[in-house]
Amino acid sequence: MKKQLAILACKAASLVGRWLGKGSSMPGKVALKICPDILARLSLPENVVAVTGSNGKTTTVELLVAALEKNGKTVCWNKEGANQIEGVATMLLRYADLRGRVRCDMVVMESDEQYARHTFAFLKPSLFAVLNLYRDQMTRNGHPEYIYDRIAEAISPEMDLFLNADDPLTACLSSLGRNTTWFGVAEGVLEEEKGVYDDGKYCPCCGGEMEYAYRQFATFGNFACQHCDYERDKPDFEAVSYDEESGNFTVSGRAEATLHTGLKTPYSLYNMLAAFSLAVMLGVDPHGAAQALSSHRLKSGRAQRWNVGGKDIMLLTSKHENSVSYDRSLSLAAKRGGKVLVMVDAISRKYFTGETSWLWDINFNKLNVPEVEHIVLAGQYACDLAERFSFTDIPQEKISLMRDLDRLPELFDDRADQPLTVVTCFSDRDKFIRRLPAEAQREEIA
Amino acid sequence: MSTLRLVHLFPDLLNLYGDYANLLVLQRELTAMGAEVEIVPFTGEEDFDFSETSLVYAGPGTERRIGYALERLEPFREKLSSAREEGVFFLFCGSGAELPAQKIILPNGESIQGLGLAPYNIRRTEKRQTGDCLMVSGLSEKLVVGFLNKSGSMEGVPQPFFRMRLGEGGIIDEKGQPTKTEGYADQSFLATYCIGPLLSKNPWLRKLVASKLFDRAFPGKTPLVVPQDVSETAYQITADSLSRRLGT
Repeated sequence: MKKQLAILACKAASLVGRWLGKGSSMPGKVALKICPDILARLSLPENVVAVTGSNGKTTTVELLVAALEKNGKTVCWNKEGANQIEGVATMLLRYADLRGRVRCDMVVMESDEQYARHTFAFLKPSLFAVLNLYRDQMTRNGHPEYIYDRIAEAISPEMDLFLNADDPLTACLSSLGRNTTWFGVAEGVLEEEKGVYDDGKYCPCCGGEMEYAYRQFATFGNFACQHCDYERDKPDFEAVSYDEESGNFTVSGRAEATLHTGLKTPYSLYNMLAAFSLAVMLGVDPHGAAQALSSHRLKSGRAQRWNVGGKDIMLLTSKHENSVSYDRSLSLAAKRGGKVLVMVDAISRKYFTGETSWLWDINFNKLNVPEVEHIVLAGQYACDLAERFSFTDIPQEKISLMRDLDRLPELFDDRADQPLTVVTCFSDRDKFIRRLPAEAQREEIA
Repeated sequence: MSTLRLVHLFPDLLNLYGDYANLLVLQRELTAMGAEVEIVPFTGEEDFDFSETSLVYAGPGTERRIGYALERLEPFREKLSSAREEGVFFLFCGSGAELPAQKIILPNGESIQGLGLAPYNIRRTEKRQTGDCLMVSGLSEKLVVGFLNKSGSMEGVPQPFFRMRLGEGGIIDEKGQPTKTEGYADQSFLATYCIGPLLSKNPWLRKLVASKLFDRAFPGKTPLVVPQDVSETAYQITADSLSRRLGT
């Protein structure tokens, strides 16, 4: 009786929430209040997939669901991205009938790295995908090894794992589950990119020195510990070639296919490779999965583009306290050249903090290329940025400060032939967008 | 001593929060004062000489990496103690401040031996403590801005270096309660749980450490005057923002 009441209450609260335009976790909260073990009382489909990682989980889930749905599968998933237990309850109960049967072919859920262990206590996935583990919002999350320990607590021996073979810390999780399916990128596919720090230098298992046959970026590459026998596993799904110009890449191994990624970064390649591999593992034909993914336009895309009187403006949103994500944005900004705006007005979405140490983890030297003509450092923390930039090789005459964001429109009025690339975070993104002129035309990223 | 030698202990292992910047800003400050400065990484070389050194520095690492660093520093315990007795300056930031402790007590009750360069112990917990800090010291009226992100605390600190205006600080009493104090220092030693480029965020503290290093290396010599730079404004913005949270 309690179960039925909880399901009804959740459905009703969802309707109210939708009407009010908010509340992705509120309906689940109501249901859990009525029936605290509601998740354990549901009948789930055979395939329940959870996806976590420091970067790309929202994108990968969106891509995976697109590949599944376009190929005729009905999928229950947390569209709004609410990935703690209340959000997961909302997601499942929306699809549940009054007997508690979740009516779909499969469940796909984005899981918070820290909270997966709590959610899994009620809802154990049949397949757990961990995309990567690196420095990400360490004020909120803790360091990567801390997150590793939290994820390890979520894994049980009967769980199948889907892991990034190129990331030594993520790959360590393999020993905790049942079977592991690996995805990764082959040698020579991506250009090696060096960051400011090297978290891959020491083995996550024993602390011994690691050697890499080749490196992609951050800790990703073909690693082998010089002290213990820990080394990279051969991927089951491997990207074996990538044409940066077109954004096309080919996958080999358990499935063969050619895919297209609109945002031409190595990052997107990893996300799409993961989504493709998971879709194939869930029974989608490789050709169908590749087609669905290549034609999908991301809703949660972190890149947006406008045309302002012929001026090409691209906004790249990273998480501020995530140097790997930031480095990727800087690489793209350097390729585009012209003017680059780096904006740090708020540090964190959730907290006020004067903590700017992450600025020193970012490789701003990537902007030291002739194509980048001018760099504007903007926002409340412009002076912290300037101090950081004074330790790069970038000629100081290329750099100017703009602490007052109301001066941003000055950047739209200069040379139309000079592209502007804006690198900022989620909490500052709208401060830029609302200062765009009314005539700004939104453009699609192909 | 013609060149000031700043030794960075295990820069690849202990560098979790951009802490290498502490040495870069110190090097720039000392160079502007008229000194020649080199930053020397220490990665466990057997014949490494700590005596011809102005500063020994370590930043934070993960709990596992602090353990690896202690294992690798074990053969150098005596050399480091001698350097400390000779007046070489030691600076430890973030969880790097756990290295010089007498011992580190783990959450399961076991303990590992520290380098024994400072009088305090470390008590680790499963729970992390994070937050902004606004602190005062007995050395200046200037506030110190910082940030804590740690899962250990100092206990048995005879003279805490900072008193907290904002934040709990990293020192606990015998009952495990926060004491609203942070860090340990003496004439040639400073250890604080504050992470990141503390000496960039606090120009006056950078100048204080730089003066100590300069005076020891070049007794009687007057340093050149260093002009103000953008870090002064950056510091003031953060100090003002944090002060506003106190309603001051």
